[in-house]
Amino acid sequence: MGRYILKRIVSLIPIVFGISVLVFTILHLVPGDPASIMLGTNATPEAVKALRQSMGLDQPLVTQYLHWMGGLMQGDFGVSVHTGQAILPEILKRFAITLQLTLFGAIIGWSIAIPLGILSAVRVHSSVDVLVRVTAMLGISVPNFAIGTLLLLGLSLYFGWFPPIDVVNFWENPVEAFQVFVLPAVTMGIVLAAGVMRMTRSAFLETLDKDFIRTARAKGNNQWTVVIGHALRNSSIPIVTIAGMQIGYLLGGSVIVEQLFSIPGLGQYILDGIYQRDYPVVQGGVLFIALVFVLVNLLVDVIYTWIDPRIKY
Amino acid sequence: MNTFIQRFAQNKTAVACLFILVLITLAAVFAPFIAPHDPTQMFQESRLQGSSSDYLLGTDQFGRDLLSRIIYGARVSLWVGLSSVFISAAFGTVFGLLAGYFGKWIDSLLMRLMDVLFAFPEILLALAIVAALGPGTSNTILAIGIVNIPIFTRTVRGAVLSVKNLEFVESAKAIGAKTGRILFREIFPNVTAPLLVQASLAISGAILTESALSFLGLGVQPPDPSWGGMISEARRYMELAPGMIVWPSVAMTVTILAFNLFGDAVRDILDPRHRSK
Amino acid sequence: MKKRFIASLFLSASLLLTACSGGGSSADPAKNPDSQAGATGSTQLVIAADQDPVGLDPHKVPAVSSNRIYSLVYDSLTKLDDNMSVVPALADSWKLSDDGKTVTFKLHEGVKFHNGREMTSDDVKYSFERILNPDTGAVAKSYFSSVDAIEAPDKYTVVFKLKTPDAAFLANTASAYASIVPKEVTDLNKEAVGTGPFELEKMESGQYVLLKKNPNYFVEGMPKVDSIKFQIMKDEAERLAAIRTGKVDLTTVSADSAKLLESSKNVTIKNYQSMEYSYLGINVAKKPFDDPRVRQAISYAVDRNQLVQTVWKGQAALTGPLSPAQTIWALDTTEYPSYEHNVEKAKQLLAEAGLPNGFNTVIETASTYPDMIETAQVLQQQLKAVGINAEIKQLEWGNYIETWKSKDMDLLVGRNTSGVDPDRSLRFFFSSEGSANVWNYSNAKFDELVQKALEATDQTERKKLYDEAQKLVVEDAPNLFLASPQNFYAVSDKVEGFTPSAAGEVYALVKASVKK
Repeated sequence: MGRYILKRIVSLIPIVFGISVLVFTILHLVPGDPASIMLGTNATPEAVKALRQSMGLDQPLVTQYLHWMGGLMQGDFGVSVHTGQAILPEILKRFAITLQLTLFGAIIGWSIAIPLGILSAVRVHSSVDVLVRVTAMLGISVPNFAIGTLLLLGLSLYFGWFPPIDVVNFWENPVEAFQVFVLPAVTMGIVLAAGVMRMTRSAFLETLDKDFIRTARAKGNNQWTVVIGHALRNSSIPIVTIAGMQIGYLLGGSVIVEQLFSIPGLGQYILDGIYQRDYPVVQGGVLFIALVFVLVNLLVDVIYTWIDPRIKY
Repeated sequence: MNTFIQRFAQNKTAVACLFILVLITLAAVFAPFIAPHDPTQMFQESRLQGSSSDYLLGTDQFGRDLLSRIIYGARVSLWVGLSSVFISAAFGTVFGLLAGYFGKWIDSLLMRLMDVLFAFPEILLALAIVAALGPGTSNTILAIGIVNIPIFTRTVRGAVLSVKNLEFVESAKAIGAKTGRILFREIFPNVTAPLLVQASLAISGAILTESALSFLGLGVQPPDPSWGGMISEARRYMELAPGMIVWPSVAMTVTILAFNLFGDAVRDILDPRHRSK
Repeated sequence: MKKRFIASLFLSASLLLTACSGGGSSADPAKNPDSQAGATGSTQLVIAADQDPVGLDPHKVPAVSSNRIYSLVYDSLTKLDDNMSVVPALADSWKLSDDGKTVTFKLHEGVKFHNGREMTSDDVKYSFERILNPDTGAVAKSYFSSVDAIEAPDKYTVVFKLKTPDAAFLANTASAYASIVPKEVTDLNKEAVGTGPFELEKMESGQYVLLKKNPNYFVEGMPKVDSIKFQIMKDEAERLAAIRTGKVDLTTVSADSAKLLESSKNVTIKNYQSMEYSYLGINVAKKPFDDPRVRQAISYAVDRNQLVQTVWKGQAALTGPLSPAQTIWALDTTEYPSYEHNVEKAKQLLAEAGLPNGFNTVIETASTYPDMIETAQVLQQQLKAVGINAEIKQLEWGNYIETWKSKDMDLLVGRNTSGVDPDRSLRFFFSSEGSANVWNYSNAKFDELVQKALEATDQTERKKLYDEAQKLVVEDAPNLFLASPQNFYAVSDKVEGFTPSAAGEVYALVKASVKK
């Protein structure tokens, strides 16, 4: 096991390399240039040229890439071509915000979804089952920006409520942080819930049908004891898979929710970076998310072997 | 196969969903004959109206008929959903089968590749692809298709992993069956159920990703109506003309619901372990 | 048991929500850890801003999001008042020599930069030389192309020697892009040290920019508030909800939202005629647009009033190349024959140009601005009526700017700020050498008119030349000038004395105060 984990960590190196090449290439394929974007439509060509020079963009792409990679090796993510500020501290600060949002959203989503999924599977084909499935589905059937807007406008119009305008971390002021994050987290959670609910339901249906569960049921055990005791562990692989995917999805996928609620998270940082062609920001941000993401996946794989010894590596 | 149709006919959810999907598809195909108006025609004097006999579901900010736009929108949204999922499912299945079955370096290589792709946040990757290729329906489809390949690969691989050490695969190997045969005859059937579940989810996901791209201004280009595009446009008029956001949302919800429930039902039918019901 | 747990969860959640819904003012320092700088009783104005500033160097960064902030931190030699006339700022007075080629400014004495050092003529000289230095890449370099030399004979006197008389010179010194910066600060994107009414206190990217009052501001009694906080809120719906609930005191809003807010208590809508206009840019080097009859035909095919009604909900004025806010200079649009909506005439012109059945083309625009997208859609429909089939392409902002610069587009929908002085509105955008002339438009007659007007010292003469230039550019139609919108501010009733105008936000902000 230890060796496996070590091997996986070593295998991160080519991934990180791959991602760095991918993000660098795509970014430079996209037309547009940070200097002209910064100067807008009233810029003179000399102004653009001078700014490009001061941003270091007049050098060949390969040189720019090597320069960036060289810095990265020493833990230096470089500076934003726009503000000249160091990127890594900004990434860390914003990642902390995105992480809180993500976990909060996931907790809301999963705590609705898993119980409902189990309920739906135990009472399969009943009216409860249908009701639960249709309700859960509604959440993924409407774009999250529509839900978010509705929440924001509705609460402001009918209850005069609006989240605190400054983002606060949970460890600083949990009460206020709760208020800051609750709307975006609900918006994200609703979308998650449907996916996890479906996975939970279908995984449970499968395990509930297996012989040992039937035996347990036949022995007259209380149904809920059966479900919790035996089925949960056996159904958890697909649930863990989708949960792992969702965490990854949320980390980068919170872009739109962050935009809607002006949450200064990592997604927002990268999105602005793309819009302004702030290459080092986008490269560094994506690379960072990628690292976290790959680590989450590694964790998921490790959990697999822990809950289902049949899977070997 | 006959038993499949029989079982299908007995499953009320499956039949109902199929009916709805056929209805929506027909509406999409025959849009020009059903829609009361040209979906792009602007009736200047009737902007932001509610339901009336002229405009059954009201009009938008340009005075375009919402009903007609929703009917034409079915075309755009279904096309985007189906074709992008086809792209991702095709690639994902092949990659997943190979990675899961062969393991070792093939698995490592493919999964690391997928990790690279997957690690790039979905909407940002789609955005970057569309920005690089230029906006338009086919580029939107391509971008969404590429973005979803890793999910399918992982799903298929996961399913392969859980069956590849089971008896029936081992015995096929023991009697000397060819690898291709094992992959497609023995393993693939066990992959179809999760694949279907994933595909039905992914269609709705694709329709939603298109709407997110529309929200960022890079989805299907106006004046062509996609449901997602209509909803994102309607956001600005939420309070002035609620119908603008309600009706396309209803259309989208019904379609996505039908796809998902249909997928579930088919899975139940196909999966031998659920036949007892 | 389970039910009770869920119930109590809901209860505590709603308690948390209501705890904050008691109309908690954002100006409350207790709730606002970053505004503790102001002791109790200090006043703060919270403004919702739609974008993060992208740098704060006033010479280099023209972005609106940056401009509205550094305009409060720096001063220029002069400024504009509500009537668009040039009034003193850092310069108390100025004198023009008889030949119009020497301008002498007398500076206000005792003005201090935020770092405590006195601002002198050396700083003015330094600032303008920095702008004129090609390596700086300054936005305003072309504004001052007539400047030959700058002298600082004593601490409070600055003399500009001009190559030719320059009627636009004085108005250009009022621009924030010509801010006076201290010579000792090397990177103005990292440090913001000006003489202006506010000092930069703190900047949290993606969250807010906090400015605090400059206690030594040289204008007596200004500014009225102790601090200003620009809160970044990117989404219009969010800004709408925030102003409604009193979380922010001030925000720009769209015409739609303005209408919705009219019924809100505690919020007042203030509007003014902006100096912006929307346009349809036409590449005159591309077939079939190289034929002036085709461009004329497009002009007749376009119903500008429908654009005003649909896109701007009636809250916009018809405009020529000069926006109606430039009252002295702008010609009335009735002077332009091609502003008439006449489909028959358009078809006839197309037929004359050999295109009786119309043609296919592309309209490009920016995905960032809903008004541009809506304008493109209305234009598309109007052009269809004369047989021109246009496909719309919404480009992401960076891509849009690249296309704009390429000089290779077909049709492009955009928005311009026409500027205070007609020189900018005409020469900058449409002369053969104009740096914003991306339409390949070149007309020797027009070039001559605007150059003559620039050098004219007599106002009547100048006016006559510009009238002619406006008519010419509308007739040649490298751009169709569509509509000049009203700008809307939603203002909380706590705020007093905020009267926005085309002269700029700063002017109104400095005079604004917040009720306790």
